[in-house]
Amino acid sequence: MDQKIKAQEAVVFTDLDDGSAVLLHLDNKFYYSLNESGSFMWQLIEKNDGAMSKEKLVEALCEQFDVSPDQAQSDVSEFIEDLTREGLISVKSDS
Amino acid sequence: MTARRLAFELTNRCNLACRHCMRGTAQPRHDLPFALICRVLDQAQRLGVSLVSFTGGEPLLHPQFEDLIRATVERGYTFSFVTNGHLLSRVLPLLSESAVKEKLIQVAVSLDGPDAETHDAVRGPGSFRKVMAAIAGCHARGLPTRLKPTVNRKNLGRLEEMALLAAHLGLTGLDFSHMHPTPDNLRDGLMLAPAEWRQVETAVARLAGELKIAVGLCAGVYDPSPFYLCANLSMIDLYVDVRGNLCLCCMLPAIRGADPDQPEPDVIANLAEVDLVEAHVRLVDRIAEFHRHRLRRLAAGELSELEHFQCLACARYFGKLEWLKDFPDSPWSGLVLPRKEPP
Ligand SMILES: C[S@@+](CC[C@H](N)C(=O)[O-])C[C@H]1O[C@@H](n2cnc3c(N)ncnc32)[C@H](O)[C@@H]1O
Ligand code: SF4
Ligand code: SF4
Repeated sequence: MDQKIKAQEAVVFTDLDDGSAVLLHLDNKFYYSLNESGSFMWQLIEKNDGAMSKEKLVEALCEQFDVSPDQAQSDVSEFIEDLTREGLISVKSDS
Repeated sequence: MTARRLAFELTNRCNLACRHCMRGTAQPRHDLPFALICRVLDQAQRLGVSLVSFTGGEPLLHPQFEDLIRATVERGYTFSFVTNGHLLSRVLPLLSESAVKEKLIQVAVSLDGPDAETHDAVRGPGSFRKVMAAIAGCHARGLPTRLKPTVNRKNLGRLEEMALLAAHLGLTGLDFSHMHPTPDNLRDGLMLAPAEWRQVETAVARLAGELKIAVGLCAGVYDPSPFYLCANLSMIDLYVDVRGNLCLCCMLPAIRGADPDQPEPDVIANLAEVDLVEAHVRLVDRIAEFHRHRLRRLAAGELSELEHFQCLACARYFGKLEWLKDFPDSPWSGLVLPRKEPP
């Protein structure tokens, strides 16, 4: 079973010049800061418009940053969990 | 009396085509030359100007926007600008530099509704999201940011929501403006009636009293005195248009609907030819003439209800509202145009 991640429509993303970024949820008007890897992952999720999986995110993170697969796995899990809890992304099981 | 604030219309080019926009499109498109801006900035120091502000068109489209922000800051001025927000991310790094940020008084971002539907109805599809993204960037960089809504038929019932939006977004405040009539916004039904302007003023005053963030209403409000004085008529604010003219204010030159072939008595002098101080002298004379004319009409009992609607009374005095005759059914025509004698 694969999981597909989708950025919520009501969220806007702003890139900051130091590689970090900020998200704004238009429903509740909360801001969320993203560090460089968070910004990288968000942009991948948004670009793939509902087709991004956790595995592909781990892979991309390992390619882009100097992290071990284990570390990447746990970073991605935590990222997905945090963003799902805040209603910034939705995760759908794709059986 | 000397000026405190100096505003420049940096360009009359724009990346949007808002339905309510007052800026005329009959004139050729161009940018205010950088060298002229620097010269005027130097001359303004003698007048005691401390704050420089930038508008347009879209000021961020000026090809040397970054250079002129630096030129402003280097001369010790504080600064502010008003923008549609679409290109703000380009200048965030500059505005975040400590020497620049310390002089930045405010970024005013135009927002014409609390949601995409209302805002985009005036500013075009996708604009709301871009403005929100820009505001998120400003907030993340700790820039003093205010919203600037212009009140129209579509957002009239949403003033409180817009004020709450500014508060939720953690902004410094919001400044509403009355929407001034243009042939397009009358035709589109966006324009409010005079009585509704008064209601807007009451609603904004109430929000200002109840909310913690600063809530204001820009020039153009009804004044119970027929002898109104705005910051431009008081010469606290000076305005230089995109042609390099010192003008009475930003509401009059090249305004939409005005006949571009008619003389422009609100244009005082071209600063490519005349020093700012000399142009200021002529401005004093023009304003004195304006007040003299008003006082004479007051004495003769000729001032009508229109004279309480600040910018509109000016617009009529300076010959910018002749086109209203094509809208005889508008409540503004009744107020602005001379009444017909009964047969
Ligand atoms: C002319 S724009 C220039 C700056 C930039 N392009 C922007 O839209 O913010 C400055 C402000 O004037 C407002 N404005 C445009 N047309 C208007 C009108 N007919 N009456 C009053 N304000 C108007 C805009 O909404 C904006 O807040
Ligand atoms: S209101 Fe501003 S953004 Fe809109 S068309 Fe006019 S100048 Fe451009
Ligand atoms: S139109 Fe008249 S009242 Fe309005 S800002 Fe200009 S000078 Fe002031």
